Amino acid sequence: MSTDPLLGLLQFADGLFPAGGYAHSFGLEYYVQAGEIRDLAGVEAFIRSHLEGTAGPCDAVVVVSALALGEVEDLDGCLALDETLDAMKPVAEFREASRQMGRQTLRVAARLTDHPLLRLVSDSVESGGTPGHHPLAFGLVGSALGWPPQVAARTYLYSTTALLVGAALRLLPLGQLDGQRILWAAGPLIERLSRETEGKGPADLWSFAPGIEIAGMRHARLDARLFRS
Amino acid sequence: MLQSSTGSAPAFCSTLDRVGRDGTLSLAFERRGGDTVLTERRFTLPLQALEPIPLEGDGSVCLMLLNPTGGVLGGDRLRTEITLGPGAHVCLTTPSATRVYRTLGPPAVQETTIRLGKGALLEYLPDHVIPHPGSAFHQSLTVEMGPKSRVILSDAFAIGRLAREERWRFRELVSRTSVTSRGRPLFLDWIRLDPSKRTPEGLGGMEGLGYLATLGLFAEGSKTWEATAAALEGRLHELSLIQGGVTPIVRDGVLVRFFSASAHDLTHATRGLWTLARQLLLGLPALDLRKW
Repeated sequence: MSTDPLLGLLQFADGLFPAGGYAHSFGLEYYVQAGEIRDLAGVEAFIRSHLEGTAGPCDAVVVVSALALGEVEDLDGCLALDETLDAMKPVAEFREASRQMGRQTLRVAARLTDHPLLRLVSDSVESGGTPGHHPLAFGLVGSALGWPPQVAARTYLYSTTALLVGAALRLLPLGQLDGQRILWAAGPLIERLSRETEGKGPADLWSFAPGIEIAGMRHARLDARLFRS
Repeated sequence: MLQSSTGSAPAFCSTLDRVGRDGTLSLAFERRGGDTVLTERRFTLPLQALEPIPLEGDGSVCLMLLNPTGGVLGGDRLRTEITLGPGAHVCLTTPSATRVYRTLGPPAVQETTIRLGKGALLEYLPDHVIPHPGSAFHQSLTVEMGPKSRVILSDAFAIGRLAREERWRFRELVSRTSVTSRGRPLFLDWIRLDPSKRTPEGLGGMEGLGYLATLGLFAEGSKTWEATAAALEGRLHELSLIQGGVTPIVRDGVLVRFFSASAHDLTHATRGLWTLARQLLLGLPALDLRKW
């Protein structure tokens, strides 16, 4: 194993990492099928809402909280945080997506690092003891591999954005350059939202993206679907 | 029997440090024979609760929670604690919307906790919150379910006084709804809106609409959530003036969330969905609250 935390960060944030995010659009597919998102500007508005409304104030805060809990090996704190996040994700498809990506992340991380806390949480997820949400898993990997909290939050948000851009490229007639433009333009927002996670913990979590939630609820009823959310 | 206070505390508790009123309301209900009775009622203004009205046939009571000053002011600290004993069935509502007025100082704080005993039934249907320009409001609702208890919960707000074309002019709206069962969270709806930083008015946020409503149905151990969700979805579909969705929550419940463009549509839809929820979850017919 490399001693450079950057390499681990790149590996876990890479699109190649088998978290299973490629199967999810987090409501984007519904908007596209409903004709409400048709172009680059629509995708940008969707991503902004997702980041500002839920990925930033909720998931990224879970990342830094999990990282802090991981540092002190607080397993009970991790499980409580996981349960809180589970109840904060009322939309079934989004909840399942986050659980699936978290489970996969923990599975791989436990095997690669053999870190005791990662093994414990991963085992608990496999036995149905805890849901194992993705931001929790990502933060715990960060604590095991020595990522600074702000860097972990920023990377998590970047990965989320890249996942949504990937989904958009498959759903709409957009080119690769369009995708890169969206990612590039999201930089300042990702930076601000990750800065805002500083010093925050489980008591600070909130989320407000009702339009995306309703899209996620309606997505479950679409006849033909490319994505699982 | 009934211990009742008449709200004799001073309405204002202002000091040099703080302007605002401390209101408390404490209610307890018990099942006696076939009826639900109010066994404790204490309050200090501005909070108040009217006499419970027994509802015909099913042993339940309906009670109006009210704030006779007509709204919530900055610095107010309003605390409500309600206990439903085993088997009690209570429907709680308000006579009108909760208006939150402008403040230059601290936010108005309203905290409500409802605890349910075994097999208790709660219907909680307050009218929506209307944050006026410059208002700051922190509200929390905590519902602790008991074994085999059932809950129907409604929660809604407007982004301003829409009839006056006021949108997003409040200072802050923080709302924390938490439903727990046996000490574990079932549904946590924690939101924070600060229009000076961000107005989530468009795509993904409020979708250009002015009212957001949530209706939650919770029951431990029910096996019929799929059918319940399908029926609610059917009703949503019929209500063509609103936009919404239905989803099963983590366990033991379903959630309906919808937008509407007007208070009239919001009320109409809430009433229709609640009537269906009542039938599906409690096996009871429609109830006329005589305010709609």
